Amino acid sequence: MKTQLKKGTLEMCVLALLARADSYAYELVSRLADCMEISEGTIYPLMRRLQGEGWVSTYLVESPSGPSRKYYALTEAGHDSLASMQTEWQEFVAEVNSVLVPPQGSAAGAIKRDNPQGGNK
Amino acid sequence: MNQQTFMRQLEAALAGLPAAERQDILADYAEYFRDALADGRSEEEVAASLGDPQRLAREFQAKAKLQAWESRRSVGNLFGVIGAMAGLGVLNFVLAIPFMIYLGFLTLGFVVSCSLLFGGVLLTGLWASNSLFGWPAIEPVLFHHGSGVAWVASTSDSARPLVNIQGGQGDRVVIHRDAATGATRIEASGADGAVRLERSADGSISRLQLTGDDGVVELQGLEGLPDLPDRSVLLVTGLALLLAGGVGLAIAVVLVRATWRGLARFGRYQLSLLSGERKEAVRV
Repeated sequence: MKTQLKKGTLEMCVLALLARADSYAYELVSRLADCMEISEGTIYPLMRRLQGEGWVSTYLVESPSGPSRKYYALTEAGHDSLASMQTEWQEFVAEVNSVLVPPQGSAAGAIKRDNPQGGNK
Repeated sequence: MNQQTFMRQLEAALAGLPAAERQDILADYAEYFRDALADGRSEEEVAASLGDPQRLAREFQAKAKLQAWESRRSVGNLFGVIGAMAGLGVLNFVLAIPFMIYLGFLTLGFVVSCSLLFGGVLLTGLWASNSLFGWPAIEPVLFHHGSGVAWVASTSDSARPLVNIQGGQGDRVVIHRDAATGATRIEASGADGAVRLERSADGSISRLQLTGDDGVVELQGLEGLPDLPDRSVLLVTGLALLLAGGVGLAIAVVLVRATWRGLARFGRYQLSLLSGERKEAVRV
């Protein structure tokens, strides 16, 4: 569950970064490393998978000094799947929050009454 | 580990991949080193945070194997995928063994269905050939008739003998077939007695006479040998086999395709979990 969740969020974050602007691997890793733990070497298998899904395309940008750099861009399909991932994520977060954060008012009593029923299921 | 060592190990571990793909992967990591070094990090630090090149390469290899197998689904490719997955440690062997047994049964089902189908085609073909050309003959035909000390009868000059009667010294054997009525008479007589067997045209044994020193035993109105299966039995059996083989094969094909699809999905899923797994490992 945990790895599945993390894997999903990592993909989603990469797609979200690319939705803002085309980027290259090192920049993506640097941005992601700010907010989550990521093993840097896995960025390429991940990007290849996203390419395989048809969510991401690549192009080379010639650099004045040294070899060209590979840029990644979000495709139309990538935008679509990012949108559905975001919807799912929001729903998931809302569901978890509804459990974590008790509703205001008579929340304590309601939870006590609900618990035995929940246990019987 | 510096950049050169990392890249050399990665290149060695990527052996077997198509050259273009290998070059592409190496170029990716070379670019990463360039960017990271420009960012002020040391080669050793970057190599360490990129992870074990062998394991990275195994991940690429497994993905390539899975792709190769998905584009050409052969048993050989399948074992390549299983091997690569096992190398990554993502294939649970407790699951893999019953799966292998299942694959074995599936293969067995395939072979049995194909055999049934082949038998059905053969029998139906024989029926058709017999109906159209009268060949191969389903009932044995006695071609020869004559007499001598020994006599051999077969359906044709080259075929294996169907009747082989041999008498001793001074014995006499006669096989006579009446072409007009279809009746057959076999006589064997020697010094100590004689046997005479008459088969009428309808296949029944009309008379069996045994003559010895003590007298004569004669039986009449005997039942004939059970008839050889006629053509319709051949056709019915052939069609039944065709049906059984066809249904079996169809089921096997459906199962194989479902298995293939499930396996491909399972493989992609397992590979997609890898990045998550390794992050945990790094943290520990």
